[in-house]
Amino acid sequence: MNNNLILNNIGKRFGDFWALRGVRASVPSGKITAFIGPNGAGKTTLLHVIAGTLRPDEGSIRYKGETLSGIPPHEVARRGIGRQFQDVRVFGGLTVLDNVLVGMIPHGQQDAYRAWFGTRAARKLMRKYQEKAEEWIVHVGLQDDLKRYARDLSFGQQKLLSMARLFACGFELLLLDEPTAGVSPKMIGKITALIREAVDTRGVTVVLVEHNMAVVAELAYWIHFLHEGRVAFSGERSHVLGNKSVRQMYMGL
Amino acid sequence: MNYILHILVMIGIYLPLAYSLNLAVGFGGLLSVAHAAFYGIGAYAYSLLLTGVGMHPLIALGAAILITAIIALGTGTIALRFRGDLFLFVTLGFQMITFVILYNWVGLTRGPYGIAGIPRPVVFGLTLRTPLQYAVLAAVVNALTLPLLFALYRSPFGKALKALRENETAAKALGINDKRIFIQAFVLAAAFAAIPGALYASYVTYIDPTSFTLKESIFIAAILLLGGAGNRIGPLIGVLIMLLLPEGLRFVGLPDAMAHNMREIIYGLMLAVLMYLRPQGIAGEYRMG
Repeated sequence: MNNNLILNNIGKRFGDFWALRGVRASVPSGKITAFIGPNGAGKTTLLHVIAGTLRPDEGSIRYKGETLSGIPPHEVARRGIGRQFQDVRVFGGLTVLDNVLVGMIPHGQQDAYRAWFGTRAARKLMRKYQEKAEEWIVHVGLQDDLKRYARDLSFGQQKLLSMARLFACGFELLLLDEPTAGVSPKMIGKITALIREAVDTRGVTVVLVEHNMAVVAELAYWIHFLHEGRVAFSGERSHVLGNKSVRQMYMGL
Repeated sequence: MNYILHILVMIGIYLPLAYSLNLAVGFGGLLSVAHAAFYGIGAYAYSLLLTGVGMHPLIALGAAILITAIIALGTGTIALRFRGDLFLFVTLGFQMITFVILYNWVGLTRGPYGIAGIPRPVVFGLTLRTPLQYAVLAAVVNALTLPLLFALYRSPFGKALKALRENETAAKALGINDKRIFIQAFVLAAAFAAIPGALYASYVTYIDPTSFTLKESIFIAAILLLGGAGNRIGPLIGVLIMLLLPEGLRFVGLPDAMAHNMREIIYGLMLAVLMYLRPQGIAGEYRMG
């Protein structure tokens, strides 16, 4: 249980408005935990806070027994936490291959001087990364688009590319912000299968923010229901989705 | 013949200027108008170390690169707290400050009088004098520096820089250290501008602050704007057009009084039409600004 992500009393304020207040939640390792709730409930803000893009005004985040809050985003990524964005944010001017490759290269190898003093071992390592990147691109089914610019892909393909990017970096915990929003039903099936596989076969932990309740019902093991910046309800999937007040507050059922 | 060789030397000076700025602007998306300042700092450092201290030209070149890099490290640390328009304005400020210092610190730079009598380089006992010798020198300098820049372009560093240009938040979320990569790009772009600075100083043997003005910075940025940034072909096309076009206009037979103005008008029109039709430049892969 030490590998769990623990949100301890998280508060985030914009001016006078508390987007998050006293959020206590835990994300069990190797499982899919969904944060659901109406628009403006603070779901995306919560992902920003975990990823280090926003600094919490209150509380702390612990992951693998270390405090995460207050460290910059690239450091959070180095600790094994990967982030997917609602608007995907692939690198449009980079090829599909480079999109995947760029995050895989370890930090020491990204310094400029390496371009001039690359050893043979480093070059061999690069080739290995490239092969790995290609494997992940095949894994998500973009093998025919390897050399295309990411901006020329369809939105659904860009979502797949952003999944490949996360998988290739070997993140142990994925923060997925509406991975199935805005794509075709067929693509939704593909994406949920990829998430499922990452969790079941590679033991990845997932934090899922999602509006599509069918996807949540299919994937989530544990659900936190956010309402006006607070965790209003937490529990196992069936427990939360079956809860009457949740259904009223959120789904209008 | 000498005229053509002179143009070749100038191309040899502007190519490394454009390709070095390309690293910051085309790859990093950091639109800077301070490149002439670093070009000038390189030229002045090289010249002063030769005339004042009597250093060997190669050592003076190395020292000039180092001095420019150190100044760029300071400037970059401040400028890179900002992005986009604000970054541009900080570089604008630095460009203007540099000019004022070059112009007014008479004790060091001789101010508006400039530095005259910059020794010509001596290679294997041969003092370079003729335009042909300088054209060869410029070619050698380019053959040595451009491959270093191209290696940066295609390295993991270049890819990380491009990723930051495309989407900084997403790049950071993949673990790319934005500050570290950006400052390296800024410093390297400046340091590489010191090389053509030294080449220019040793070619004309006289420098003064008017060669390193904001106008010159904009000229270098316009090379990238016109030719295109973010790859290897764009800066080459930009340099060729920006340097050869005015020379070509000389032969159209315009009256002297008109020629200069016509040149400016044609530049302006070209840029305006191009920004409308092809905002990424003729061969660029990245749209600046």
